[in-house]
Amino acid sequence: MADDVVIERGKSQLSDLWTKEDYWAIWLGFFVILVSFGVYLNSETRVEIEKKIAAANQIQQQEAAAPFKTIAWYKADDEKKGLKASSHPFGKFVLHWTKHPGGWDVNPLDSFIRTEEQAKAASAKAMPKYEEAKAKAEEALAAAKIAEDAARAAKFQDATLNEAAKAAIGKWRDAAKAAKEAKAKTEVKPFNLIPTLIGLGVFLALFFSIGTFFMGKSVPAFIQGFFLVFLVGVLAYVLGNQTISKQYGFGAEAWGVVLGMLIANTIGTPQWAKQGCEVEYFIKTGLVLLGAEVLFNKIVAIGIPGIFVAWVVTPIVLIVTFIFGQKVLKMPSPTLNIVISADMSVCGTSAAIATAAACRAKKEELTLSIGLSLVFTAIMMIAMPAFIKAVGIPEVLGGAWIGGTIDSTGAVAAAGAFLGPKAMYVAATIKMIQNVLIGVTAFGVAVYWCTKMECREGERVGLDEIWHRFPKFVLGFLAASILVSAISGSLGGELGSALVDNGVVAGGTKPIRDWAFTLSFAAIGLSTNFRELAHYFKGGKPVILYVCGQSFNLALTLAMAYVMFYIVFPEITAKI
Amino acid sequence: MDRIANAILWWLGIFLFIFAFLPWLTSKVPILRQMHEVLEWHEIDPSRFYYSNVPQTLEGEWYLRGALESQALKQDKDRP
Repeated sequence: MADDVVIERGKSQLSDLWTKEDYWAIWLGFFVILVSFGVYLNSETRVEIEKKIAAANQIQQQEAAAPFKTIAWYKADDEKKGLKASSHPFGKFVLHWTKHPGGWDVNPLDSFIRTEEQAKAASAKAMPKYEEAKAKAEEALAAAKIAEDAARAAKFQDATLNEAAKAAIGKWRDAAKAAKEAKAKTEVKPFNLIPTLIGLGVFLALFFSIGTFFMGKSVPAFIQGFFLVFLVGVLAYVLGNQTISKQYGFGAEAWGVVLGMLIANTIGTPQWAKQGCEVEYFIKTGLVLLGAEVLFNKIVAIGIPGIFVAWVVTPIVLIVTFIFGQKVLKMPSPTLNIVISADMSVCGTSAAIATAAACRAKKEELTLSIGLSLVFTAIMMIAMPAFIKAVGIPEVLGGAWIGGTIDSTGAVAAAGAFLGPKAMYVAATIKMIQNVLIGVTAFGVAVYWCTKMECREGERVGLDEIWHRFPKFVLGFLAASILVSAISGSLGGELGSALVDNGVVAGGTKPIRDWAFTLSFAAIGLSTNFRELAHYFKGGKPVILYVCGQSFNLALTLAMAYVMFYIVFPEITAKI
Repeated sequence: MDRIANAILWWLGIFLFIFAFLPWLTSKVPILRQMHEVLEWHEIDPSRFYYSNVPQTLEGEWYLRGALESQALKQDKDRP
């Protein structure tokens, strides 16, 4: 079992293609990606989706004469947004067999089994709120129709009637959204995850065994150990989905490390299980699959201000924090320095995983970085919206600030929702644009490490040497990102969203990626020594680095968001 | 024996913190209780780290794209 996240060494050979885990991560990742594309892009579901989009577009074109978005326009828009290729039988099959233990409050067994009676009781409990929200939505719709008809009768020439209709339609949209959210809570379904988890465990064991076999390792030994890793992963999902645990950002990944470490450092990881702790193999496969979710066409979602806040500030903070760690704090480990810098500046756990793998960080360094991120994310998620409200920062600026600084996307949405819907939309979108940066970050760090950090003083590195040293799975990660971005872009916004976001990704790559990362964190925990971890804490330098870097990030992001949203592009802010 | 006692102590400590202390704290501190209610209502999971695991991201993207598109349309219409 290796200590590093990446252990690529020596000269490259043709046989690496089937004997190295970097390549197996690529083959397995691309197998899932290509199968998903093959199914979703060639299915009847696609034809149906195209027809529905065309019909909705026709309605929207007819309604475009109005100076505001009409009721029919919004209904057509809702129809398009509800289209999901994952409703194809293949998508249903994948989603059914990759389910992880769900949420619970008091009884952990609720995450595995929900009986018919429990489902009915939960639905019934949510019904009064839904009835109330539904009545309000219907009332708001009736008012909106009257206002729109009045504006239409005046052939949209009366500005006062137009404004009144626009306002009434806006109220209906808010009420309809609340009713939709309330309705979702009345549709509780029964489930029993035990058979599907057993099936999934067997599938994943076989899936990862293919590479294990060709890499010349013992498949029975791997499978034996894999089941302990899988069991820790399942338990991690159970604990991470407890309502309060997840509220503070303590999810399955964190529990995977904690549970694994508790086992490893108290009763000890059994010898027979150690060959299943293939940290690097799971991480790299997960990262290649994650590449399918790094969609470059997302970066224009909020226009130029979003690009400046997410793609200009972030690299500056990343580089300055790294230099600060090296020159001022004199961090003994440059890999720990860059992983914390990327984790803090880019997007938390996902950036930490990608960077750690790209620069060959030790698993203890990855664990430490993620631990720091979890603690500060929990604090910032509560403190930032409270501060923004207290000081009276506008919602859009507050949302952009939150989106650019809080590490994890879920916590960003949570903090944004605490301020209001607009703040949540802006915050989550800025974070999404920043998420896309992990591809560039991983590639940049891998190149920098190959050409600078791993060289002796005065040594010049040729292209062939760079190729030998370069972590090849990063190429798979980038290739997946470029391929999926290009296909999604060529399909266009709505079709791309229905087939790629809500098809290839939601019903193909993401469920497997989620499990690959959970397995890797469980494996990290099972093979981590407390003492080694404590060694990296010495002097508190990682904490100082995080605090200084995050302070700089907070200041620069706020300044950039203010300049972009309120000085350079106020018209965009007004429209939001 | 020491190892097993250690394991039990660690497990107990962590479990008490997450599953007893944090719920108690959340119920007692108004801002934490309010946050809990907002998260429950919107079904937001703060422990999800990547955007594709957070449905509110897609909702936000649609909202903002819609807002920016209507602004672009308005500019086109206003242009002489």
